[in-house]
Amino acid sequence: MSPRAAALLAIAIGGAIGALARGGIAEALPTGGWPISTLIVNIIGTILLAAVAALIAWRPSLPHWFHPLIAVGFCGSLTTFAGIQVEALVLMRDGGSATAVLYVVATVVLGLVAVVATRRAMARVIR
Amino acid sequence: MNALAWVLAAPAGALGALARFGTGRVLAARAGLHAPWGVLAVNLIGAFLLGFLVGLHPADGVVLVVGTGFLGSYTTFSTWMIETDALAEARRWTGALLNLVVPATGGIMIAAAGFALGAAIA
Repeated sequence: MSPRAAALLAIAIGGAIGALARGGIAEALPTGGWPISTLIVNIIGTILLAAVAALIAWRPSLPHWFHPLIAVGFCGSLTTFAGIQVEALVLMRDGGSATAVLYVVATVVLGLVAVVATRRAMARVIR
Repeated sequence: MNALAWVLAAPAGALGALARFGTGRVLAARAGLHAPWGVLAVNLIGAFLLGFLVGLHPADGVVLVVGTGFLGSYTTFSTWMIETDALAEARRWTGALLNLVVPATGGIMIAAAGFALGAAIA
């Protein structure tokens, strides 16, 4: 298999697993009110992607399928943007603008904190 | 939730990830637009399409396959955060701020527009 075909296959496999994991967590958690399952998958996926980015910068010799499988495929698909926006829309309708704004701001702030904290922790672990 | 929709959600997620990768590649090759433009594009397109889908009020199985599977995977949050952090690390403060505020505020407006269009058709 050519490296390009292997990368596309890795993205597809990672993407399928990421989508199922996101859907499964949403199904397992109670619905209604604050969209906690999307917040959880978004933050977990962001921590994992930041860790993977640090790993790849540290060891560029990692297998070629590693980045497409874990970063582009799994983390990219586990986390979602459209879901946040449509959930914010539903929150705005049901709970008012303040709840929707709070949800989006909380997600973005936690996401950035997750990236910075993971980047710093990884810098301490791998030298 | 019916089993068939869960079976179809997996290839839909695979296609969403490939389409996200492809959109970034096309923008870079055709328009010379590199990070963070690819993620911005997929996220705004995906927010519009998911709003449109939800506005149509389709069956739960369709929402699971097309919404959760395809569009959930097509759009992404993790890369958006990583790229914003990278802009800030490079001290490109205006770029980092715009990369946060434009998708966060524009995304919901674009999702609302998609929803209105879907609801008008349905």
